[in-house]
Amino acid sequence: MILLLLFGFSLIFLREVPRLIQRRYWRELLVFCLFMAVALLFSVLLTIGVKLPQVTTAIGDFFLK
Amino acid sequence: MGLEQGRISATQLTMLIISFLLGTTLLFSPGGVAGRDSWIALLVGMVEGLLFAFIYATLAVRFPGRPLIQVFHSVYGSVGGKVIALFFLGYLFHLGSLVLTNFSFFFNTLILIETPSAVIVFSIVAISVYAARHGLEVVARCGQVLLPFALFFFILTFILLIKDFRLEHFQPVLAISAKRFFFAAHSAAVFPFGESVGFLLALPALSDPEKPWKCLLLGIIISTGVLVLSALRNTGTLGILQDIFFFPSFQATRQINVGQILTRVEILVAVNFLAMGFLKYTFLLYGVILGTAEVFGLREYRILGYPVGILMGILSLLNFAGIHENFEFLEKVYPFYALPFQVGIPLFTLIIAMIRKLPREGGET
Repeated sequence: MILLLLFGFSLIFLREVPRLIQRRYWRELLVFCLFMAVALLFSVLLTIGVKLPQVTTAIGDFFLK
Repeated sequence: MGLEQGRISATQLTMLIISFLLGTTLLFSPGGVAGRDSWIALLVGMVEGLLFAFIYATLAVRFPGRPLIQVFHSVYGSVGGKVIALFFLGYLFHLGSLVLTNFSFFFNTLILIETPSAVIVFSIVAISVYAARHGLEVVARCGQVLLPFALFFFILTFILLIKDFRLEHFQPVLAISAKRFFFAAHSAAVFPFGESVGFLLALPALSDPEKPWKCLLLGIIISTGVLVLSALRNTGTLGILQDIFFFPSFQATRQINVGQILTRVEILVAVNFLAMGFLKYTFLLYGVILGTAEVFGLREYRILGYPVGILMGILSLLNFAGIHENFEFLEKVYPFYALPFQVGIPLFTLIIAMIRKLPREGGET
């Protein structure tokens, strides 16, 4: 499953990054890599079954108190 | 000049607003707290929703053609503007994830019971990212194509159910407490009408910058008409029983039986939800990536489509443990949680802009 995930993310990188490098969009490349890194991190954590924080439940608890 | 180079006409924007407002509400019955009086609650909620829309339109007309993030920048300064923008975009991001959660719950409960939620969610994400990356014009054209079909299917199910309506299902009228009724009306104002706050990001792309009020007004009135008919259909067919179903529209349409031939038409409700929900999610995704790109000062917003779409998908899988929690959130939390973003930020921005006499003539801010 993780391999499939990495394959999917690699495809997205291959689709976006060469174009950004060609145009010398360094800031765009940095922000894209930052967002992709966060997305990859959370995807992997979710795939291996790590319990991630439930934001909406936390918001609900805050308002229901 | 903003990042969005495309321009959409007033008709396209109005159709997109209607699609957006009907997005998840064709399924979830806004104002459902009022039970059989939800159709009246919707009408009262519309008035409150129009007040919200008036704030958005006034703000848009005050800064014609200026992207929202630049407006925040002018009003609150560089750092303050970015902070407010991130809060606002955070709300739209969360709203997008909630739409995806609705998708996964609906399909997992009624249609694709064995399919993992992630498959449903990321299928929608993939299509939406593709559309959002192509810009507002493409999203608006999707609305132009899909909305007439959705309205046709909706009217068809309504007509086919008229013979099953029972007038006694509507009686007694307004037997609930005033507090409960007005809370239901407020819930309907916040979900869905107040959610049109997201259109603040799209209004600068309107080809006629003087017309946002007309688009919002028409959009809200037409979608209210559809939602009232939907509430009448559900109450007329199911009566008080509608309260025990998660998706009363789906259940009501299940009753359609024309001479044992035309049955199982409820799939049309699912098709409508898929089409309108797709538009709602795509527009939210578009808004978030456009706004984020402006906050970070990027030269194009399309590159953020994939990562932001994936992150929304992940958040949607974490939102609720079960469908009950979703409904509890929608009924008890959302009417309060959404207010600072739907009213607070736009109203505060407008008041400060008026006090500071922004935008100044001739100057950048």
